[in-house]
Amino acid sequence: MYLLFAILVGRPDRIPGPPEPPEAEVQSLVLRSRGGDTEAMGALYEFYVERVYRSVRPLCGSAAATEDVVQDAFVKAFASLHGYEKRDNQRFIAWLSTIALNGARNQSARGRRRRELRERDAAREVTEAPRTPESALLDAEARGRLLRALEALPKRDREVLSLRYGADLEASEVAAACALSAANVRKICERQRRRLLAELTIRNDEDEAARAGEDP
Amino acid sequence: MMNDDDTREDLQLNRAFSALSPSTQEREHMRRVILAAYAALPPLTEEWLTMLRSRPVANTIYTFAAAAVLVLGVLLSAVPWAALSEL
Repeated sequence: MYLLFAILVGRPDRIPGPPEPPEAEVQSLVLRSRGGDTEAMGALYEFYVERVYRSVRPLCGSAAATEDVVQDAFVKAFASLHGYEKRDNQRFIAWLSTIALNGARNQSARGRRRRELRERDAAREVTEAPRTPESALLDAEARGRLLRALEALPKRDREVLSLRYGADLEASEVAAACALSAANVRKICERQRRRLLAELTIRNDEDEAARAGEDP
Repeated sequence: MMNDDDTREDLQLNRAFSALSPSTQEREHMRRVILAAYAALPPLTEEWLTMLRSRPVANTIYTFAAAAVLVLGVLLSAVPWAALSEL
């Protein structure tokens, strides 16, 4: 039960990024970044990196591949800020998430270096010292459970859910990024949301049962 | 219209996805890489010259062809076609 609680309330050793600023402030940061102000770029990065990362993590094979996609997306976005216009009230996060989504699609289409990246991940798991073994276990289990549950979904639905809940986009923004209608996105979310939550609960119970079985 | 159950489930999934957040270490690492990669981006003119140098003949021809099409387009758009058709 504690594990389920940890999944639902988030992990204690991950310091969350700053809350999203008002859109007017974002626009002013974008404007400053267009002029090459690295401080403004850093602020935009801090505001959005978590959401972008969470939205592409289920679409990439490994954490290392996700890092590559996120890095590419931010560099591309910063280099082409002149192309970003706040058309149709498009939020910066929606534009950025679409760039990251396309990067993730290309990355998974290429599929090369995946084994190498997984090996790099495994090495990092060892070198990255967690605060406590318990929190490391919670981290890995919660992450693994969610990723496994998402992997069971069709690719399109996985993209929709990742953008909706990972990047916290509106249904209309997800629809624009995935070339679907907003009604279709809502339908997919409604259908898969319950399935995913049920799957997470089952997997959590299985893990707890397995742990109970291991205990002497 | 969303009911309370939908909202609660949305919130649960948002929280579940927070498990995928990068660690503080990863976040710092990515930040450094991004800002360094951005700083290392060559200016557009330099990139263009590099592109020209890679295949000088072909790319010079393409460039001149594109410029010629552009000039032709501007000239043709300046012709008073409507007035000419009435003659």
